[in-house]
Amino acid sequence: MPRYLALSLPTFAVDRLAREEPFVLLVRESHGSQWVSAASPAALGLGVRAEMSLAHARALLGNEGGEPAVLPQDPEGDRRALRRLGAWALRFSPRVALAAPDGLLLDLAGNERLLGDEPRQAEAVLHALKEHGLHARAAVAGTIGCAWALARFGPPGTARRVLPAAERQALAPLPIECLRLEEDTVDALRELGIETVAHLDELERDSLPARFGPDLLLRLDQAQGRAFEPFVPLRPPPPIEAARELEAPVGLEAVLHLLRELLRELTGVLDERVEGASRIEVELTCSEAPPVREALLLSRPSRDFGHLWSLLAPRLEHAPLGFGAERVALAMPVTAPLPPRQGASWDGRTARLDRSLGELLDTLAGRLGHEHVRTVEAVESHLPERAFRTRALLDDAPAETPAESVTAEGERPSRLFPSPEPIAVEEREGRPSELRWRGTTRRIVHSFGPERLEAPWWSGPAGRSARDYFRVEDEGGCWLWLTRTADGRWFLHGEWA
Amino acid sequence: MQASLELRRTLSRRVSQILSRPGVEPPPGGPVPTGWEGIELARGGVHEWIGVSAASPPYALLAHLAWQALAEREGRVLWIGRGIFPYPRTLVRDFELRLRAGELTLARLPRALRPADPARLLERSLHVDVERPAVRLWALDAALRCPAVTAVVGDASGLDMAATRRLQLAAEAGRGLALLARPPREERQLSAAATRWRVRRAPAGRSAGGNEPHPSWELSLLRKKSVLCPATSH
Repeated sequence: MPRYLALSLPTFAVDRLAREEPFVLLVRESHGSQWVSAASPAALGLGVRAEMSLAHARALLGNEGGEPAVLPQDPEGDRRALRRLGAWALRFSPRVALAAPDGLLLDLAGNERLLGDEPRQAEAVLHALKEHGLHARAAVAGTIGCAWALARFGPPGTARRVLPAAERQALAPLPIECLRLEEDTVDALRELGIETVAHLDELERDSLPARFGPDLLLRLDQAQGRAFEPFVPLRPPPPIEAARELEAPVGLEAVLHLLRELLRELTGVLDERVEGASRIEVELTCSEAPPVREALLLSRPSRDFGHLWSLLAPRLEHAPLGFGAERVALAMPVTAPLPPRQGASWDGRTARLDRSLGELLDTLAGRLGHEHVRTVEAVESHLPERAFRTRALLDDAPAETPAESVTAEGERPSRLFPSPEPIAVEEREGRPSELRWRGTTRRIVHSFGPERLEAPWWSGPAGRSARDYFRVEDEGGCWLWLTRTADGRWFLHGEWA
Repeated sequence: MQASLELRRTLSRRVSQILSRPGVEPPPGGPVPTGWEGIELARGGVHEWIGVSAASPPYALLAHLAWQALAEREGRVLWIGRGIFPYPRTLVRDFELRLRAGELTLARLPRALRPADPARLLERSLHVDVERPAVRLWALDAALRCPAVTAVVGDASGLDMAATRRLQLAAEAGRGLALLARPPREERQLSAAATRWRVRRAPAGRSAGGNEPHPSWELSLLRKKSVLCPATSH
């Protein structure tokens, strides 16, 4: 016995965009002016309504000091997002269907043992959607049509549940729009004073197709469980992978040839999906030798055959194949959307430079390891050894450096020792006058300071962790950065080189 | 005769079309003004800096030149070598390196004179941590050939004549600025660099000159290949 959970997400278009901004307005253009087509709950709370002019909405929000994010309607984007949501919902049921434009259907049959009874399953889905900032209503019924209708036109509140064979009663009080009818049919029925499904039920069944077309009866029967309705499950996109089984073990040259073929095949799939690979895995099953596995991480997704091959081939040139490989497999387990390449006419130069930089970084990281290609970011700290942080390069987004905080401090050396080196210092009137470092004695001719740096309070008692820094020049013209700790010990921490 | 000449022209044009991969034609760009009177460094050339001590290349000078290279062109600066990356604060443009009578002086810039985006070099810099000379040479070569790289600052210790020639060719292909640092003990190592410079600490006292003393160095041009490089000095 089939059971379906219908989800309705009436504000999906806004919800999916309103996670970061409280005030989001979706607008459409008509007759040269812009009209609000949907608004986030926060904006609705301030009186914004659909079909209001954008200027009016802005004025309402402006009173409250809210600067709305104004975005054009994007039905295509909504559809893609709904597909992604459908893929996400596969965790609640192995069979999920799209109910475009704003809903999903989950087939619950046989899930009770794993996921609990129906109300519990519905609650779990609603709760998870809420966590993601998506407003949804749900209903469970034995037919797709009935679940769909109740999720949209049923009483608000918790998930409505219709017991098996009770669809007819459940639908009776609902308006006729709940039957997923053409607008013309609804209008025609309303003109006759038929407002609810119950009214429709009272009419002569046989006369309906002649007066309103065949769809009306079909939809009614589907909702009430008298006609079959196919459930078209959403299939997760198949993994991007390919393999070749060989009858006899082959040598490296043949393996590379096969891999080229497989790579060409998979980049073709990527092309179709408008995606790029972020991770590529190769597995060679060898006879009389352990399998060879290579994984390639890319700094940015790519589907460029030449580039990917230039990264892949060197990894396998010395693969130990034993007597040869019996199976060659290539997989791209991690992919990301990658818009088609821009033509040369439109900002092509920047795109090409970006690409060539990405290829360079992949090449470097591929041979040296990702951790050896790094960027440096400034961090909010006045301790010199903590003021910067290195980051292995995986994404290429340049970090925004809080320049103000970086330049606000005193003078800093161009070389900082990994750890301060202990030195002996002669002091005269509280200033360094001579220092001994690595067996040599240097007279200090100039000294500037002290600059006092305190470690943050949580790393020790106040005053105990303070350090006094001096910039000094020795007789050889060498500028050094000395520090005296609170207990009077001296260290060399850096140098101007 | 005429026909075969025509054919050869067509063929050579075809070959050069095939050789120049589409989309990676080197970006244009004149020489890099160093900010010091009369001295410019050619893009697409290798410039060697023999400096300050065995432990440290002339960080302030390299940062200054990398900044100058970025001033007129977008792109990245790659620092290649283990000890080549200065204390990152050096990449923030809050100092000035002046050259007067062969002496470089490092002084902090007053706030009003700092550029609007002092951290630009820091944001555009990437550090490639590689130690072994052979691998380092490969990384330098790859980076120099990339048109998106404006300048490469590299540790050139242990690289021989053939290696520097290879890097000079790579720099010509990518039109980037190649700044190579060598320790003082390699001053006599042969090199194909377009210009070679020596940076030494200026003895204390000389730099004082009445004003407040600042870190300073002596800069001298050891060699210049005038054919390859329009760098001038006086």
